[in-house]
Amino acid sequence: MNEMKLLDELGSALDPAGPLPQDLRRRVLTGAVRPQPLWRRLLAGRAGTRVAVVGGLAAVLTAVVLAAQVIPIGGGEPAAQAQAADILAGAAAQARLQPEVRVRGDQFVRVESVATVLGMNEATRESSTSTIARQVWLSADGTHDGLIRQRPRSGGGDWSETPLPGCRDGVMTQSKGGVTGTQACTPTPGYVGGLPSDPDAMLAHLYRGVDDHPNKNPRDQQAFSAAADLVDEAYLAPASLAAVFGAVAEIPGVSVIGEVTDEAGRAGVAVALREVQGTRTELIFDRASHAYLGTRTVALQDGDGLTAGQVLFSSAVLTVGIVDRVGA
Amino acid sequence: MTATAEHAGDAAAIAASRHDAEAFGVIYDRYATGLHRYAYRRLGPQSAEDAVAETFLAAFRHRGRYDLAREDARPWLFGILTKEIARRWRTEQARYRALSRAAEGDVVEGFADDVDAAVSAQSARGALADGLGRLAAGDRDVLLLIAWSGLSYEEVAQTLRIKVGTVRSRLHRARRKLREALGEDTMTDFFEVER
Repeated sequence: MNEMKLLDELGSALDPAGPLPQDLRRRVLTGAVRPQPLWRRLLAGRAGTRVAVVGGLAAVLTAVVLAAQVIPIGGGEPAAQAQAADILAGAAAQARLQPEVRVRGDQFVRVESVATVLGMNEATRESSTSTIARQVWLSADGTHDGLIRQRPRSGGGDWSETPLPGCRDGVMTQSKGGVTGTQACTPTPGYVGGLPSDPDAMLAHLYRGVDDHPNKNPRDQQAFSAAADLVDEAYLAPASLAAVFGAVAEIPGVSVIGEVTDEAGRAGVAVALREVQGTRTELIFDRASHAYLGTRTVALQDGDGLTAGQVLFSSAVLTVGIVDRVGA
Repeated sequence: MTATAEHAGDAAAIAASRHDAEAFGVIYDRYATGLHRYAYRRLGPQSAEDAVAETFLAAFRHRGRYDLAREDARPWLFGILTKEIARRWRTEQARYRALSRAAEGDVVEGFADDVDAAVSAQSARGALADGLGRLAAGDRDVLLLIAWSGLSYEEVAQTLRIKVGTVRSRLHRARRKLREALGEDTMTDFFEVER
């Protein structure tokens, strides 16, 4: 048989079974058109569905490269793990003191925060740092239109607004540059009720999520990321929030990093997990009360255009509330 | 080369994308399927997706250098994709080894089940995959672009930035080696190739 004919048949047999991966177009075009937060790229595989942290990154450039300042707490690895458990127990106790709010589907979770984001423009390969003040209104049931509002922290620029279209009857309507389009969707609730209120059940819940959506990251790392995503820029029922902190204490590899200053300048202490990408994601708690303050991701080694100690992403939560209207 | 209607307007879209980045979506929509199929055949599911994504991102970065006199963007895109595939040579080699083993009954990701019926020469396919893996990289690029991408000799020459004569000689050598791998008499077909 002729080898070109054989090659032709081999090619047909090797063809992809279905159409193009749906995600690919978005991956290519958002990567091409918009600078992508570097931390998100590095931590690909994290849930991270909470829309772009930075709308117009290019608008806010500073020459500052943040370096993670950490004052280590004495003691070796076992001690650091035990201390992490103490801090997380304190965080859980603080969480239980929070008011329990009944959240209706038509309400919004309002979170005010400050953040620093290291971004990389895929087109130019240039990285840039932006420090922003941020307010979000997330539709509790995901069917109402929410909003992200951001502005640079220095220089007093205007707020830029990014609408978060709600998903109604499986359809989301987006407007951009005067063009309106619709897209199939499933609602992303801004408030997740019915989460476990017991640390062991929460731990099982976190790992179950990992096993339902496996990726190449280690399971413990994914569970930790899932926990960080649950508490970051969110309202959880006090018992569930406490359960998350209790569960994190059980994830292997979680340990105390040391004393840090959070993005808002508050004295904190960081509990963290080292990630296989050469980064470390920290949950930061108030040094005295152990109340949750925010999160930070730090590069641990040089490479990929980063230097060890460089902060990829840092966010400090200022207020969390439930409101009836966007903009309120 | 004259542009067919199907490929007309590539240069215009690329020119527009220099000012309006989103115009680049036209280029993606035209060629993503073809590039992906070609990459998928050589690399398998996951790496093909990555290679195609990187190809378009690189194309976008370098859109300022695109020669607007060329109406058809395929040679340019396949040229970038060829480099992306080259970076993933380990994956490609592993795929040929797996295909070679699959002829003995192993399962390969992305390998359609219903092909057995179509081909009498299951073992020939294993030998073919084995032969592909043993080709020199430049010869394999020419052979597979000719066989699998739908590009003409001239377009393959543009894609790889080599002369058409070089395309012919590499193709000739690659086919001879494949026949050897298939265990056929190389002399019988020798003159057929030259036609």
